[in-house]
Amino acid sequence: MEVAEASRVAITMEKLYESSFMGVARFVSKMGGTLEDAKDIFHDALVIYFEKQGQDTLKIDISAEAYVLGIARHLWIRKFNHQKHCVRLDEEEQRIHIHEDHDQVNTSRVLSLLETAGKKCLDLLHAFYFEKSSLLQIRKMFGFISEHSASVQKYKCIEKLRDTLHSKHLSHESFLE
Amino acid sequence: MRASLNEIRTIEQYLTGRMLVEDRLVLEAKALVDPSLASRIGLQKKIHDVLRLYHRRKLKRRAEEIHTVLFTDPSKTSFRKSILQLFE
Repeated sequence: MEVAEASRVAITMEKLYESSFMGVARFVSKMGGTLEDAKDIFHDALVIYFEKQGQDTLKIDISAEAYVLGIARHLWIRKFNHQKHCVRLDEEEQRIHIHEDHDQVNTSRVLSLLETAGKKCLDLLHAFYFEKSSLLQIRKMFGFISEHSASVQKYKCIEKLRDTLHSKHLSHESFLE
Repeated sequence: MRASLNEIRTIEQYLTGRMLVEDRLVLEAKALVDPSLASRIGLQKKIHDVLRLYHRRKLKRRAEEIHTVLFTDPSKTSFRKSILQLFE
């Protein structure tokens, strides 16, 4: 018996925006929210969706549109906790896990610092970790002589940013915590 | 590649979960007795957190751009209307 492989082609934000905004807008309007509320929640949901897609942590049981709506419903519950009883997550939606960044203010401050002190390095590291660019692409993008030198530059960048943070005596959680 | 960069590669493997269990335990044990190593790992993790935030902001800007296009493009009028209708 042949088992069809569930292969998900990465969907673009443009396509997903058009196909899933309606569902979220309908939900938000039912909850008494405005178009602005719908846009905010929807954008946050899209960000989470694409973060997961990039990390390959999407559960492929439901459609992308249903997933985004599920995330939006989660976010609505978090934002408007007192109305929790009005929003019930179905079984699939309950399985969606949204990671919390516990130290957002500090991270934001550090980002601002590094954007001024090390923008080039930030962009290089971002290309490596989040744009899933291959070493070849990065080599071309940043003009490295070889893929090895691109890797070496990546580590040098981490070192540079790390030393910048260290020299500014910026606090960070001990990784052991 | 010099030792300090090799260490960064090792820490990267650790932070991205691409390390064998036994190697992970060894690194964690080393960090327990070497505060400067623990500090370097913590800082590298912070950089990862910062990159994640950087990426989220990029995604958010992308969403805003798409929104602007969808709500101004003449060919998307019916899409716009159906959304706006919900909030009348």
